[in-house]
Amino acid sequence: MDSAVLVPSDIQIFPASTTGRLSAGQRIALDALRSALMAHGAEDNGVVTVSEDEWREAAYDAGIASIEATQSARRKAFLRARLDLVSSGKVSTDDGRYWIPSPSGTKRDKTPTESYNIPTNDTSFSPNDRHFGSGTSGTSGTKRDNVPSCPARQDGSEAGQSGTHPFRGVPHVPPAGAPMLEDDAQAIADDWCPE
Amino acid sequence: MMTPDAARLMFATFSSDLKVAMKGAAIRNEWRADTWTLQVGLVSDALLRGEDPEALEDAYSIILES
Repeated sequence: MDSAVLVPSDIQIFPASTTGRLSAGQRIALDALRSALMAHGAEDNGVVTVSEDEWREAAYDAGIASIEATQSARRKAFLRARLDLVSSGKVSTDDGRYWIPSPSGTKRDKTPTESYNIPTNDTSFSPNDRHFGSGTSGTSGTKRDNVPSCPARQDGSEAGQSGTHPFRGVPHVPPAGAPMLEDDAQAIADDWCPE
Repeated sequence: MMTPDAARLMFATFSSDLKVAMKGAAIRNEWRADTWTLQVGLVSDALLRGEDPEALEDAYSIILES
């Protein structure tokens, strides 16, 4: 090859900054978590974590709220940032410990049986969590005996897609993580909180 | 994890404002029944740890940009 032609392209070579969408408070909290992990991090099963108190103190020191802010305001600022970071997956939590998860495609993803990054009983939560389709569902095998039948419908009809036989006797079950109708969420919410 | 019945009892002890804030978050984020149970359990723990109920209300009122 003796020559080459440069052609303009819209392809982004470098990934967008992972902190590009963070608010100031979230960015400070995330930086504070990194600092806390370096200063106070405790390693367990290959994961370095800090307690909530250690993270909170680091966030206060980093100025998550102004010096003039009341203790309550500082606590709220940290709480908001913490919930946002956990709900967006930028921070993981389990049993009161916090850490920064490895990016996708890391060792954990390639060796799912290894408890490298996130404990198997990860219960990260946020008010913005939708539902928990993965981790709490699924079967322990592929045999028909392992698959429980769905309860019969109230109108007496068989569950499943109309006009077809259920595959190997297993009634149709919506896939985990399938979108839920907004009306369903409203009905459940009304059931819990009629107010 | 708290049982659904225990969660309902615990939820009944929450302030009205916190209940309404959680309900709003539930509808926006399409919580299932088991999500409610989990959230109530975690809020109970947070309150027992001394978290400010108002801060929790604020947190549930936050709408994240997706």
